[in-house]
Amino acid sequence: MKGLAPPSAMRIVKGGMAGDGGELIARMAGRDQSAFGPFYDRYASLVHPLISRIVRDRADAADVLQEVFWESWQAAGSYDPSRGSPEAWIVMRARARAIDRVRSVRRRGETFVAPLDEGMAPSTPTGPDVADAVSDRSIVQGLLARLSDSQREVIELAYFGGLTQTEIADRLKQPLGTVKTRMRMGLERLREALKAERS
Amino acid sequence: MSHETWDAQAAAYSLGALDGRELAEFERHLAEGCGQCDFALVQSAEALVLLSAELSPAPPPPGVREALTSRLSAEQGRGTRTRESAPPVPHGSVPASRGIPRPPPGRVQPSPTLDTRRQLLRTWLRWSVGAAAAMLVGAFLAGGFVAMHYEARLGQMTRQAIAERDKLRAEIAALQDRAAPYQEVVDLLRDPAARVLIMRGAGPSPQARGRVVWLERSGGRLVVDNLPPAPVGKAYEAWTISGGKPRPAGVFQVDAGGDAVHSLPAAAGPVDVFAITLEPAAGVPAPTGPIVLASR
Repeated sequence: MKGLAPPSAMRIVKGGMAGDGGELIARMAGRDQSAFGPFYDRYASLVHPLISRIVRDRADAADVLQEVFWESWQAAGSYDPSRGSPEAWIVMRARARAIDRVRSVRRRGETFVAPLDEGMAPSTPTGPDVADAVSDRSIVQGLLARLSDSQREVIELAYFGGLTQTEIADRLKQPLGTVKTRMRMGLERLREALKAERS
Repeated sequence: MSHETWDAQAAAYSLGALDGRELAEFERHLAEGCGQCDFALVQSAEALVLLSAELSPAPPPPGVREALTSRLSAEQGRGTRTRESAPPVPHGSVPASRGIPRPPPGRVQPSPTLDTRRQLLRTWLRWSVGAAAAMLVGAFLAGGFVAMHYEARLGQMTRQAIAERDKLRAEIAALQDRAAPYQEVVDLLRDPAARVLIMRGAGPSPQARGRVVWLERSGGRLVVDNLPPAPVGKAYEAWTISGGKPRPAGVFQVDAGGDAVHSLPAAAGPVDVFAITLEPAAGVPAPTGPIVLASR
């Protein structure tokens, strides 16, 4: 896989499928506080970009990051290595908490309703977020570039935007069946990419 | 249902996008133990990790690690205190009974005669009656002290609770007072015959804005914001204008934030324009001051 991720990120994913991460979680489940720091150091750099991508606000992203790791400490006992890698475990928690945050911010703001499209391509980016907004587009050049535009669109709307299939169909004015097919095909491509990455 | 349908649902489920009846169906299907879907979900979760790992790096803010470490230390501290607060009682170290005091050893004879036994009994009785009386007085005083203390504390808590309750009641009443006029506006809007007219600031207050929700048959409500409070001795007066002829529709004041909701009486006929002027506080039968807001 050429030109995909920063090497550090790929190392985390490849090296973490078994072994150290799982051991750290097991020690955390046994309330061994000395495991928490290494666990954070190992995974914060993996999940923080995801949280930032979803919530689009630095302060909110920091809050969610803290929330995710605190919950991981408390829920370490629920981790089952046969159900997936430590990376998948923490990434799923991070994505869910970040989407919760975005939804609660939307509910809170009576006048502020951030269209998801702004999250995808901010129309008037300012300050330091300009760099983020531009570099986020680089995902398209990576793994998502393996997908067709229409597959990428539904996966982005669902995974980063938190929309359900019905909401996506409404937004794109496409039949629900079409949206489902695109999601399934897109995920299959991602799974193939994972296989290639592992081999 | 062929498994292909479940495959599509598993994909949507992995992305958190499954909803409605299908979500319930799929969760039931999973609960029934479909190994194929289970495997698909695990694989998809791993593939989505790859997606996260591909995002451009965003170093975690340095404060988060410290904050988490502090929370962890605080949790440890609480855990330690909890253990300390309830020390285990070691077996076999239960304190001896203090029920009946022994008489002083020197007064006990190895083989007491009847007299000495009576003497012993009297001594013990005197001692025990004295001790019981002292204990009673002590208990009474201690009980009284504890009761007084708790009565005082309870009284203080009750007063605090009553004060809190009164304060909350006052806050609720104030909020209800503030919300009531807006509720009336909402009620008016429910009527299909209601018209909504925009008013724009004019003359001395171009930044002011207003809306009229109007029913020809019964009048309406005027909602104003960003209108500066009227000078002392002045008030705002509303006008309904029909065929170029203004009719007074009541005077009102705005609050410190420049907001007001004013009730407008029904006009004799169709209204062409709504206007607001600055007038003497008592109101005037025909406008004399400048127009500050007008519809159209």
